[in-house]
Amino acid sequence: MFMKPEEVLVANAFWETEESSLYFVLQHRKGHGKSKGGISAILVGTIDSIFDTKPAPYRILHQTPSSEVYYMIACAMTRKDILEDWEWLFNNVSETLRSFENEDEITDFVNCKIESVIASRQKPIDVEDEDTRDFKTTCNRFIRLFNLPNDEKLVNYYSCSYWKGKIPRQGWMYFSVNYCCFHSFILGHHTKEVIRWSDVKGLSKSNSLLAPDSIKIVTREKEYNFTMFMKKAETFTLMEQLIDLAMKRLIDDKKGYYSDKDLLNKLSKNVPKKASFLKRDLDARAQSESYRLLFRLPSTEKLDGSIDCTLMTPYNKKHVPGRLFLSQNYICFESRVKALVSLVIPLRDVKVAEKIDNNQANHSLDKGIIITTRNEINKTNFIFAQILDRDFLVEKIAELLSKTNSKSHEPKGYRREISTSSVSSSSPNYSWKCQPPLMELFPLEPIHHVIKKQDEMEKKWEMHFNTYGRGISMYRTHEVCELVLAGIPDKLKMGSWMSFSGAANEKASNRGYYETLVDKALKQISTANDEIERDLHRSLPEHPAFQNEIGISTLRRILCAYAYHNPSIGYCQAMNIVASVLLIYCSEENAFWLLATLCENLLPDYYNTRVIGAVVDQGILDELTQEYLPELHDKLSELGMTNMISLSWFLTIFLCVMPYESAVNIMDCFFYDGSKVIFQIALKLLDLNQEKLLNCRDEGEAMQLLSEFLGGVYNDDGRGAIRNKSYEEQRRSISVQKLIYESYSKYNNVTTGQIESLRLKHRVRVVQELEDTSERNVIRGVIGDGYFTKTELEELLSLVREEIVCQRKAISYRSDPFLQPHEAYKIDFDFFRIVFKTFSPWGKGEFSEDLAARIFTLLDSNRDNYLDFRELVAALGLTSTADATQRLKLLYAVHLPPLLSMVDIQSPVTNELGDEVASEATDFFQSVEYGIALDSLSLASDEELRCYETQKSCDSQGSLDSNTQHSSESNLETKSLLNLRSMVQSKESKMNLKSVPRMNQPHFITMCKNIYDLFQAEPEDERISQAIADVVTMLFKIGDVGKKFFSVREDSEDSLIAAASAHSSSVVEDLSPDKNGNPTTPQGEIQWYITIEQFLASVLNSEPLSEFFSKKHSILDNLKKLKRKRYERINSYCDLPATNV
Amino acid sequence: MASRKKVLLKVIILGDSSVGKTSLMNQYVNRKFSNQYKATIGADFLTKEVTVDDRSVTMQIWDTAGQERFQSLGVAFYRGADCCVLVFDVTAPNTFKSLDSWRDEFLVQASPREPENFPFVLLGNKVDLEPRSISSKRAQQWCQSKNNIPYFETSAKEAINVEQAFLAIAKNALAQQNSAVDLYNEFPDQIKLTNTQKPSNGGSSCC
Repeated sequence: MFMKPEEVLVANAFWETEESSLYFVLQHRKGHGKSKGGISAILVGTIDSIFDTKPAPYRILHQTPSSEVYYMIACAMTRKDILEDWEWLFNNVSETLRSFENEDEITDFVNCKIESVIASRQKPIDVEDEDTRDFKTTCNRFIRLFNLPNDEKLVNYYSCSYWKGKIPRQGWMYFSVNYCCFHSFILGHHTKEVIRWSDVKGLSKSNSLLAPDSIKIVTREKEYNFTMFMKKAETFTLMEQLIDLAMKRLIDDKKGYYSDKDLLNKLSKNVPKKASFLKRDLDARAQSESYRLLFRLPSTEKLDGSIDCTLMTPYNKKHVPGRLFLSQNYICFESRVKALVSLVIPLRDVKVAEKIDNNQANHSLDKGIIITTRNEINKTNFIFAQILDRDFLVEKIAELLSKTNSKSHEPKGYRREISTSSVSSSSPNYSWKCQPPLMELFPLEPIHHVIKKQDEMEKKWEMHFNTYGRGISMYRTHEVCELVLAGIPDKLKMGSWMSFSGAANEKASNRGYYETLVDKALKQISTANDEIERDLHRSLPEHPAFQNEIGISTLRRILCAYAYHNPSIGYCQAMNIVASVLLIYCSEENAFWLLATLCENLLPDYYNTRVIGAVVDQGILDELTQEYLPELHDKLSELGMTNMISLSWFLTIFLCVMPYESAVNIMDCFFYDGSKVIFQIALKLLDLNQEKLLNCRDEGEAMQLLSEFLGGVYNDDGRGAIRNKSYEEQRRSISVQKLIYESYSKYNNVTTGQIESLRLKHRVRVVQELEDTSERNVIRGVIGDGYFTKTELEELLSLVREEIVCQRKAISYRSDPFLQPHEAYKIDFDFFRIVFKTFSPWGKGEFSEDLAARIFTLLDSNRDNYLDFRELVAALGLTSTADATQRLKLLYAVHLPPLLSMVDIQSPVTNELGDEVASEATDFFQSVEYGIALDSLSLASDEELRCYETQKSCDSQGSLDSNTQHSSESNLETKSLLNLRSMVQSKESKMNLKSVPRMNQPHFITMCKNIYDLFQAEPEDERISQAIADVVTMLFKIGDVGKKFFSVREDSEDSLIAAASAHSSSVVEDLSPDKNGNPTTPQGEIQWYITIEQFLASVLNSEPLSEFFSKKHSILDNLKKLKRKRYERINSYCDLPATNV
Repeated sequence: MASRKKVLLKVIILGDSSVGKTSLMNQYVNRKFSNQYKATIGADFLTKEVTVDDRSVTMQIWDTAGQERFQSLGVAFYRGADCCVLVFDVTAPNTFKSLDSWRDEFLVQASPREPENFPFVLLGNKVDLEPRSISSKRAQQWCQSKNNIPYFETSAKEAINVEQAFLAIAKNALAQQNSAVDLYNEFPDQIKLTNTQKPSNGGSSCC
């Protein structure tokens, strides 16, 4: 059988060659086929068992005479199979190979051919199938071992020791996308641990006496120590990656793990193949991520590969060794010596890439290529040399170039999504055009010396541009860094910010996107737009541009457009301040892309609905302060200030705490160097004030001190400044240039890499804290209902949470302020059924599932087919801890229409009949509602109802009015459900019992059956069944009496009831002869019924029954049981045995 | 707790975005109104020396960010608060609706010793604007349901009732602090010291 060509390093160890041709070798495994193969056979056997591999005994290798590398192209279990392949190769491939001149081409051809053979044989070939077979075996074993769902993906496994108590256990650690598992089997003793990544609170390398050189995982529940890793660093990094994925999923549903086949194909060259598909994928991801970070590339950019080479730097005529990186839209270079020079060339600017002929006189340009850009302003050549694999590189670039050129004509990126929806057809209500930088429209009063200084700076920059090039593809050296630190002149800020931050790249790949976005965003009515509207005049009110409608509407457009572009952020205060400053210096569209880059790349998660990023960075600053300014750190913790100071600094990049004309210089560095800058500045600010802060008595004094200092940071070179009298009088603390310079020189050790890894660490903590807080809020909201204790609720919530996380859904947090916290935790019926069966004393019988379904319907107040946590608690509480009356009310209610329709009694299929019965019940309610409607309960439910009606009407607007009839019917059903629900949940409601519909005979009989059913699990069967029989008989008699009563009362009752009952009796008629042999109600005769009061009274009077219904059931034991079962449950969803308790 | 020569009252202002928290604070402290305030990010604060019941105290007024997503970040600022001022905009019903959530969140995060008796003051701001959507009666009903919170209708712009409101805030804060000091002071001489300064005994007096 042919297989995807795979490099084999050692061609001969353990293998014996049977046949060989010029390009192919047929081998069989040593020792195979012989009963006693001697030493080598034993050795092979041992090695196979150690590596847990059972390779096929026959294989075919491909190789070219001058190459050392072998490719395995086929393998087989039998000699017959391999010979077939061998013949096929001989007949179909060998001939063609002679026509090639180059051996590399031959290899390429063979590999291609084999791959196409495989592809044609099994068409839907998944990239995942690239996982080696033995890895798959391990994966299957892993899933079986830990009882995980079958689609759980194993990432990798490592040998290590787990410290259980004081004893280390040697075993294997398995990482999958969702779990970290450990298994050891020593001396007949299994140790299994399963940790969910999303439960991890902390991960650290530690080195204690007890557990030397270990990795510690702290989860919400316990701590784990693992030691004796073979590859500790790799393991740790992988753990970090997986935890981060889990955290991101907790933050945002969409960020979860999705395999990126494209990326894998690209990086298959860079990443060693031995690990699993997922491990390779994650590695590739990490590589791409750091590549993007290094060169500030758009988040869609995937690294293709990298190669060592030299770059000719024309400004000093040198050849700088370094590495060239290639991705689908960019060529980048970084020098081997850190920060010596780096370069980003967008392929869209590249005109041509050619080989340079070797020059005998100058070997420094050997194996070189020259890349010519078509940039109008700045036509430049870039020369790379000493490229070992030059031909391949040139080919690759040419291939990418042809793709780029063909793509450049069609809309790309975001644009595509938007242009498909019909924007053009709708007439634009708002006419607007992109504004130039607002400082051009609203020039400030010129100040002589500032203008002079700005001109000087501009000259310096011009000189620099002339030597090092301009725009994105400038040679980035230490020179430019120094210039940036001194401040970018106002006129050049836009261009520099755009190219340094990478926003120019985003803009270039999404031309025209902004305009369409604005048109759509402004028409939208949303909370974000309201919030933006409120803040427009509170952004940069001191600047004349924002005292004018032009500036305000520009700001509105950019903020609304962003909120529309990225709904997961929407609008967050602080963005208005940042955006308004961007608009001063940049044209509208550029400002938009800078804002987007800032929100998505530079300050990740800062502005999302829980401001997670800013809180994460707050933690990082705290840690850095502890490292660099330990004394001050203690003082700040003592004052409780660690979580106070940095929020406004970071969220606005100091724009709202310093005069903005000073803070823009920090922006310069920030766009050039990334978010590490804000930490350097923050540390320096604390450092400068250290002495004074140490003497502060309270946090107020300290805050005042800092805010005064920050307010006094001045910039004498800034032209954007509002220079009024107060500027001269203002307290001046330090010039921003000095601040920046000193923070760079003193805190140079704070690097982007360090910040990124600290972010990983703190993100885990912050996300888990937020989870805890939201869980506490949920419990606080629900505990008042009085069904369960706090511990029980906590356990139950953690179960629900696990279920949600298990299904790989994010718990959606309240983006809507009116949504209650418990509404985020929702479960579907499938899960409810299991919970109900396990916990509820009513969940043991034969019909418990029907019962569960009806309770589910009753309590699902918004009819979304999910129970939120509060509803779940009610469902369980009402059946297991509520007082007897309430439980019986519930029991009664779930046997009434519309929950139990006539049809349900006969067969589980519902049809129109059900609706009719429902409307009957509603009629009952309507008739009595006038009498007692005005208690608070029904008020509440009325309000509820209204909201459903509006919801309904919205829904039905889409569909045609043909089903108005139907929707009105379902409204009636909704209404009767609402009434039942409020009846069941209210605790002291003697009054509204009258409004509860009476129960007719078929429903009553079903209820009786169900009551019998409830007791099946009870031990004292005898006594109970006698009691039930008594009660049932009594109720039957009461019903018969009531029949007579009813006929008397009929005239006095509302005609609606009569009409309804007459109507329903015709429905009931055919169904009513029942198995118990009761006489059929003849047509026209008044029906048999009982009321809820009669039902309650008779059941409560019977001691064994009332005992049963009053018994309180703790759910704690069952909770633990179910938790233990959780993995089994995922596998065998349907057949969880009902636990008998 | 050492004897306090200088009494410091920490007051937190909470409420939805753009109800006028910053303006109220500035009107009270600096006696001026400006429409040039920026949206508050994180928190801001001002201090004012006032005389309450013949006692000179320093009021430290903390103004917080109003956007919903910042609500959970308040915890650092709430620590040690003596009084919490809730503000809503009488022309914007939503700002009134979220008062409950602000109050609850404060109580949870600040976790005062006696949540039931912790002093809140409610301010209905922007009474100079028309049309009103929250009547005094509705606001007062809410206050009654929350253990009789004092209620003031203010206008930071026209300086209506601002002074009176903050005086009440200061009194309540002081009463809260005194009751807290009483609880934790075990040394008789110090009690004497506070007694001389304190005009009336007994916990929070309602105004």
